[in-house]
Amino acid sequence: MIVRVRDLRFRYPGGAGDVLDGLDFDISEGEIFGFLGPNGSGKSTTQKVLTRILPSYRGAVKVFDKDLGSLRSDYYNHIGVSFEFPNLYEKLTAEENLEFYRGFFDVPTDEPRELLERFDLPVGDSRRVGAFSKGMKMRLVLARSLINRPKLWFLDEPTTGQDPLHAVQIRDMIRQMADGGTTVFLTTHDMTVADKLCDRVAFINDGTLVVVDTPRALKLQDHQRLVRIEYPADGGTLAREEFHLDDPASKQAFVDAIQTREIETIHTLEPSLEDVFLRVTGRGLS
Amino acid sequence: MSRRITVAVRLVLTIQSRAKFPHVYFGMTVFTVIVFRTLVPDELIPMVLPAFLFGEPGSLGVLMVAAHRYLERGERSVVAILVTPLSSGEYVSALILGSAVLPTIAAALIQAGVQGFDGRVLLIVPPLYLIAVISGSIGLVLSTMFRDFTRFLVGSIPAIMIYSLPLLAFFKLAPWWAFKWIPSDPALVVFGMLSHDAVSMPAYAGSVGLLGVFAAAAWWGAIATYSSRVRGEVEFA
Repeated sequence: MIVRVRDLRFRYPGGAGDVLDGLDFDISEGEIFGFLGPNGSGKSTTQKVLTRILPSYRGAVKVFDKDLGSLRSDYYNHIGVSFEFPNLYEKLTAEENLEFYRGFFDVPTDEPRELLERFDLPVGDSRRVGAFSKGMKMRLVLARSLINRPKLWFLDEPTTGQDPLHAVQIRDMIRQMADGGTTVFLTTHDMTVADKLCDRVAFINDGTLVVVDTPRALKLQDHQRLVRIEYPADGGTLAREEFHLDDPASKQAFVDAIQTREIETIHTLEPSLEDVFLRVTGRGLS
Repeated sequence: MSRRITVAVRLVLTIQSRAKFPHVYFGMTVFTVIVFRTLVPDELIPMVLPAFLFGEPGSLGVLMVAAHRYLERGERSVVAILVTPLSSGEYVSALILGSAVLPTIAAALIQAGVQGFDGRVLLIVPPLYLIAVISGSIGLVLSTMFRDFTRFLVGSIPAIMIYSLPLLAFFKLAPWWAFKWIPSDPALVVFGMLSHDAVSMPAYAGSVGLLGVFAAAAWWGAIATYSSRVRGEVEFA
């Protein structure tokens, strides 16, 4: 187990109550573990605790089989942290940002130019980072978080500000890293990212873990096997019908419809992760 | 000095260079030298020069370290530093040591520009650097207490005034013993000796040594304050 968390609690100084209220979860090596919840639910706070930015937690947290509180600065040689906002030195170039950053580590690091290429960022560009778009800045934050070849990679909303093409590239890269043995702790409220990437997801709501399971298992819980078809109807309108596959009569009607109608679309109606979240927490993710 | 501190010092100097800090110091230096060359009578220079020399690493040093800190806060880059093996103590050390370079060079250039490039310029560098370290430490501590630069400017005025009190004794407006406990006093003693070209090496060594003790204490205080407060700063960011 790379991460083991038991009864994790955290309260900000002067805060009225615990923002993390007894979390329990484990993360295995090479796993992509999604931490999902709405804004203010405790996702980022959990990441800050696990990265030792917030040291005053209660409960038992082990990372790399060691008590988190006993880990010293060497811990940072083995983790990578990407933030949800672009916290870069804006007066430096992208290459300078990476070059200075790598100087703080005691382990072998990647070449800045290679990382820039991997993240589709300009190499040899004399522009300062302040002139970059938000998407470029966020990709540079991601690149920076990989410079020390981390065993445990913390990602907070990694596709924020990305166009669809770069969002797909980032998802692919995260999957490649996990396939290579890197463990990923992914904090997000983007259900698409979580559904496509995560081996398991945890739903957090008001500082409490509601459920931890694979995206598929969560979606199939209490799932009604429904199919919806759309086809042209009289008068140029679009007709829509739904069929319950567990009901023999409805199932036969579905087969008949396929044979007799000019079907334009056909969809299974399993719930999305957001539907599941709404059901188990009673609130949306946005 | 550890490799990480060396990297961090280079980072501090590069950022300050890009933020045009050297332009500010160079402008102040040229202006000060021109004023001395054109407006200050020769007989008054040994009296007035030490106060101006103190002003570069002293008052301006406090403001510049804080300006650097608020620049980093605006970029939120400190949070990224917190998740590397660079410790808070190493970061603070690099910030103070790096930020002391520019005011030291600027003040040494003023000394050379006003009284000529002689042995005094070399002798003045150690006390200048030490007073810059003390000022940087004060600026850093104050910048952890105020959320933005405007509040810092208001809040730092009393601190800079107290820090500058030994000037009263220097100009004989207060008894010489009144402000001995303030870290800027031994620096003014040395600057005074050098500007009058009346250097007693034992007195010089004693004052620089005392300044070193004050600088070490200020440095330690800055590290302790930063380490205890900066994570709180992140918590509420």
